[in-house]
Amino acid sequence: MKKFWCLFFMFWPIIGLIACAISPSMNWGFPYGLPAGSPLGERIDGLYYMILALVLIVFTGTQIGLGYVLWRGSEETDERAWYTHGSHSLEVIWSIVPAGILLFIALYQMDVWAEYRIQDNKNFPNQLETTVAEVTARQFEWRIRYPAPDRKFATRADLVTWLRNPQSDDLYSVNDIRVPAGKKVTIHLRTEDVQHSFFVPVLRIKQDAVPGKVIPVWFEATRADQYELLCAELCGWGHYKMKARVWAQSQEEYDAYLKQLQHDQFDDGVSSAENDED
Amino acid sequence: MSTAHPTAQTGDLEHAAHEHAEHHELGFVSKYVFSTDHKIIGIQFLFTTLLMMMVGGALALAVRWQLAFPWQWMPFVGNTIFAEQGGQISPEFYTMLFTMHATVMIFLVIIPVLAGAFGNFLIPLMIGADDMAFPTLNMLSYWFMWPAIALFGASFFFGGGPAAGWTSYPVLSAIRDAAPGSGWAQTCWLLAVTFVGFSSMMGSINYLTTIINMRAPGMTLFRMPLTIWAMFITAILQAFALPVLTAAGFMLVFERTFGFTFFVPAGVIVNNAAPTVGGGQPLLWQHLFWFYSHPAVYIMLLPAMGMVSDMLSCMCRKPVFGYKPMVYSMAAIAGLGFIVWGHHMFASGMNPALGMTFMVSTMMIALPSAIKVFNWIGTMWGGRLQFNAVMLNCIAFVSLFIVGGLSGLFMAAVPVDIYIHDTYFIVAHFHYILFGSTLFGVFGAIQFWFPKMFGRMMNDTLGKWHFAITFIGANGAFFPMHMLGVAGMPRRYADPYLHPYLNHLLDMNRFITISAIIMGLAQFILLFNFVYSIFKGKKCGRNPWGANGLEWTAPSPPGHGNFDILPVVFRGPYEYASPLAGEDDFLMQTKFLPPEDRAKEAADHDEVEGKH
Amino acid sequence: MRVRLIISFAFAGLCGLVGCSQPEAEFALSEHTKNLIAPAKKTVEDALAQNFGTPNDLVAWTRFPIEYGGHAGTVREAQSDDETAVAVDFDPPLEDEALQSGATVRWLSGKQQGNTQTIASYNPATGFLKVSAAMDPSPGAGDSFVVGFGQTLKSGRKLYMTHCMHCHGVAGDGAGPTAKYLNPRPRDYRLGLFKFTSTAQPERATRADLKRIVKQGIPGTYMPSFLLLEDDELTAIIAYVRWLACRGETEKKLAADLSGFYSKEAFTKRVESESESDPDDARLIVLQELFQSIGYSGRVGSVQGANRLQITFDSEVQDVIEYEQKQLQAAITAGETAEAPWLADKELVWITGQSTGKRLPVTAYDAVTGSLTFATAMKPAPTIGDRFFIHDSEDSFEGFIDETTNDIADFWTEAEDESVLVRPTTPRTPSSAKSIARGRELFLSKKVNCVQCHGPHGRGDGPMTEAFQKKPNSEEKYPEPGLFDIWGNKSKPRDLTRGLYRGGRRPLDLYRRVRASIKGTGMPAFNAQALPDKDLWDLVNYVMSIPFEKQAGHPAVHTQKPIKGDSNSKRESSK
Repeated sequence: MKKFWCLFFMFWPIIGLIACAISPSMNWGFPYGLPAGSPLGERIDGLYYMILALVLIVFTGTQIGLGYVLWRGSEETDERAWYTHGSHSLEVIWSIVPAGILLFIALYQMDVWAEYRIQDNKNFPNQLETTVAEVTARQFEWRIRYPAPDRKFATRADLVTWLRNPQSDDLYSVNDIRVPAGKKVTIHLRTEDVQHSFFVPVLRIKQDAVPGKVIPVWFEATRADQYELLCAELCGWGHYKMKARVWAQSQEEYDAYLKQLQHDQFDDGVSSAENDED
Repeated sequence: MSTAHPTAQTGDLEHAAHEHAEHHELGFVSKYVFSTDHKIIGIQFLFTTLLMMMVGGALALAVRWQLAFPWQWMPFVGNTIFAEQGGQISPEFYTMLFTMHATVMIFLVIIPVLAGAFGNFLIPLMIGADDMAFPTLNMLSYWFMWPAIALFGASFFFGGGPAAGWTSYPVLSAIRDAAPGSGWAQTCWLLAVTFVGFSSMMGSINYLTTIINMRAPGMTLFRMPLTIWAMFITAILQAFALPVLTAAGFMLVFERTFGFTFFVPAGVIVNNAAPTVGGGQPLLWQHLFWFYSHPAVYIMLLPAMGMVSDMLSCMCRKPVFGYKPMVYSMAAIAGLGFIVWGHHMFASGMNPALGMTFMVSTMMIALPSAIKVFNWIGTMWGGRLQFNAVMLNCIAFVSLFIVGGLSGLFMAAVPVDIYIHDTYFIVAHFHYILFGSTLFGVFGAIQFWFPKMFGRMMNDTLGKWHFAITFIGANGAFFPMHMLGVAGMPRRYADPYLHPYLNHLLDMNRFITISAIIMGLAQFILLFNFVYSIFKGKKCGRNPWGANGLEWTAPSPPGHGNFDILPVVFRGPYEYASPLAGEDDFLMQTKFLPPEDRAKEAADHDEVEGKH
Repeated sequence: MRVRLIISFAFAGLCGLVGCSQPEAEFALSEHTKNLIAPAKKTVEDALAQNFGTPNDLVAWTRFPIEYGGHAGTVREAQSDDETAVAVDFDPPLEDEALQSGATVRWLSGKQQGNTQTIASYNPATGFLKVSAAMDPSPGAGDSFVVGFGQTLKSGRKLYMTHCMHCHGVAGDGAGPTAKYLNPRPRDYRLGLFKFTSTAQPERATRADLKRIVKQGIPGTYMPSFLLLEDDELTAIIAYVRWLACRGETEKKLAADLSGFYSKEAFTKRVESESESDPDDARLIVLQELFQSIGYSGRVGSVQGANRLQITFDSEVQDVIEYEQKQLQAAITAGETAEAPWLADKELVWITGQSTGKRLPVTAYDAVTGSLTFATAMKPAPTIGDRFFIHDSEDSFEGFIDETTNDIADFWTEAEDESVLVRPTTPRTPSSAKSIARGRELFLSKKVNCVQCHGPHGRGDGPMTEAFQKKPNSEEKYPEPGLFDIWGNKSKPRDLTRGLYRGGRRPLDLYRRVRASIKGTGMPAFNAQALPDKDLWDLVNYVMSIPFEKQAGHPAVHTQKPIKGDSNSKRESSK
């Protein structure tokens, strides 16, 4: 009976490892089984897989250790247990080795984070050049305000003024953010009411939208494609309904879209050739 | 009583016995309801938390049902509240479900069962005291739970119950119109949490005083069982962290009721009301909340760690491997636990530089947990293992703690956390710790100390069945959540399948729900075993497990004053398989050895001491 | 121990009773309907159930212009040898994959009209449609049918229950579980009115209007944008919403018609004012009037022959009938009337069962045995419990239902017509300081008088918001000062300084709000005589400039360069 329990405890880690092994083929991994849609996202994935590898090794090792001691300890014998209060050298070993591993992980990821978030980092984009939109989250949708296509931000003050004051030539959209693909873009994230969070899973971006703040979020969409955008901070009963998209397009398509948006926004129902469409 | 001297003074003993003989007869209400006896209070906590566990579990099953069968008829709930809609729940009801599931489990189950039930019952017994330092305060700490329970219950009737998550972030929880439950329901919730806080605070003051001042003669700090160390360190955590939560709670209540503006900035427009005039910072709440709530997760873990160490040592019939490293690890976890709270806030909009600092401290805190796991395995190494229900639960603790701890590493790496924050990966991690570790530890502890509480044994076969089904159900429920998280399924979503990239996860969610239902049903076995054994369990003596703690020298159950003979302690609590034990395979803490053995023991002790 | 076991089983049993069978979703009745006396209320309920069904069992009334879905086609030629196959043409042509297995074909004309069969297969190459059972009589060339009828409505219902029901309610009454927490309240479809439309003031909304709202959301409210719904999902949802609106309007009209005399208050008043001394008789007299107009309702007790039934009338109907019989007897005895068979010249119409909608002429009713005789045989034979109404063949409540619903259907059809679409005829005047100044003049003018609601600075704080308004069609005033909409909610005039336009921010949208009004609210319509296009564009230009005013009430001086893309903006020197 005792051996049964040893096997019982060993069975589940094996199932867990099998589940991990078949995950890619069962589409139990990252969305659509695709690599991340942004360069930073790829680095995040790399970090994830590195940690996963380490974790699987440690997991296997410890479970084997556990299984071994259980198996040996379940042998029927009249001898007493091994009377020991510990081992100093073992304590040292299994303090230093994990500490080393943890230190390695800590150092390895620092520059990924710095690139993502620290403004002085060389890869952090210039907001004046890369700002494409202000995205305002509200209960329960994403409202987007683009600057007019010909508006340029020459100085920080220009940008701040534009962020603080809607302009009469701004273009508006809802639940549909268009950005040029293949280059760094910045959106300015704010919220009208409660906290929300700008989460684009395929691009591996997440940033909470905090009331009272305007937070710059930058990313680069490698492929021209539509990316799903959702909310990742509880914002009320419609938290799950905030379905939107980030659509990275080629520069031409992006420019054409903005032009069309501008045209539609100032539609007076007469000047344009087509009828009012829904 | 001074504990610096290893030898007892006989005069004291006689004096104590004399005092005990003079106690007056108590009525039923004083004896069993408003009791000041720590054992009764501990058992009261145990009953209450077991009941609350079923409530919290039912709420969880409702959450899981919606995820498995979205917008379809939900049994019981659909028939009573949503009959007109054909049994389909509404989204705000779902937000209440997960809010209250977490709230009930954290504040009404886990913290009270560890600190309130086992802390209360075990501390005086294990250190050789006759009761807690402040028995009346102790009684109040139990009875303060009931206003909390009543307020949580009342909150359901205001707008359907609080709906801002157990984390209760403003602005959602601060502005009354921001969510259906953010009116009176949220206020009730905050007041209830305050009551729970008072209860915990009273408890922690009691535990600290008792452990420091009332140890039996000979019980030095490093002869205390790890359970007591854990309770001691937990009490310190409670004492230092709780006031911050209470303060934050008051600030939020004042904000909502009297118009203070701690957390709500200007210009917020919710539900078409006029813009707020604010000046507050939503992030302030997050810092204050997590400053308590991170140590809280260690409060919810350390006592179980301590108890499991004791149980493992007993069931393996050998000393704990590395007693002092275990103590230092627990202290390190607690100490470091105060400086890691920001890892809940990496995506929150706080200064990204803090991301680095909190990442480092979070990585550091993984180390003592790892050391403890190795020491547990070391405890089992070379032991003579008894595979009863208690042991099985403890092995599960270790095995599942490995999973929970390792999954934490992903979150500690900040860039990865950006992706998995607020997804089911986090849910998997903390459920592995809270259910997989703590709760299995609690199940083991219930069955281990039941004989001491009630003088009868619980049925071991039922215990094993309960264990096996719960273990399978728990793994089935929580392991796939790691996959859900990596797939990007967010938390707190009533219907993730609106989003195409999550559509394929319906089957996995159904699998999890079915496992959770099986797991939930298995708890009835434990409840039945528990209740039945109180009346019909096999009677037992003082020490049915052959265990080493002081509590096993007292009668089962202990009477008023606990010990008929005041214990005097000569050694630590883990002398199993000691060569000096004679015929038994364990050497009691209180066993008086003949001089030559005493000398040998002292020599061994120095050797062992010197090595640490 | 035994007691404990018994208690636990009892507990489990109780739980089972409460929790173990799925409840049925219901269409809630409107307040007016609930306020009718029981027989009148039942009539409305029956009419709605018969023609619209329940949420889980929808009835698609083809009278209404709703896309119920399905693929229409006609028979090319019938096969005489194989009674299960027929050559057909679909319009538009169909791929085989589009026919789901188990789909039904429903015949709309010809010998098979009203019948349905299950489809076995369809071959697009040969055009042969094969059904599972023989069709007898076989359909002829030119017979029309539809496959998968009701699919769109059903899928619309499913999508509606997932996305919309929790706010808008099962019946589209704007009273779902979440609704009470929302400000403003979700739309109640049952008046058939929607605020932001492109049609003239008295008209309904178009499908395009509704699609626009669902896709773009309504900023400033909890109606979110459902931009990412697929086109066919949108179509299905809109079909269901319009269906709910038609149902709601039908209920409203029926209840309104009956409320005049048969609401609870009206009924009590009339009973009191009846000169008859015996209060019971007074009540019966008033009820008699009701049943004479809506018909006598009852159910089948047993079938006694090919054209004979034993029936029971509903209880109040029974009371009235007995009273009528008594009066008739008294009149005959007094020699005032010759003996006449009672209920002759009336007809029975089935409202449940296989023959729903079919009519039978009644020849005699024997009050003693409760047996009803018909002129013709009942085909198919009814089952026990089937319900019916008996009333005059002309001028019946049925006729009223018909008329009412025809009107409603016509309104909805008319809305799609080009002629009611509100479109400017002149292009928008380029926005300039002069145009804005003219617009402001109009805003303040007595003729247009925007300021009475929107206030001098456009903040929505005009004097009307502080006065007590009268309720529509009544002398009673609202309990609070300010403006109310037709759904009974407090309705604040828009704060134009915020630049938040609920119906859309295009100049065309603002034009429409003024020209077509915001239906159901206090925002009136200004027709082309009152406010010609030229002036309206000036007003629109002014309104669009209000959010950018540096100082409230002082229109922006236009010094910036023309807005690219806004072909209607032009540089103008500042004043």
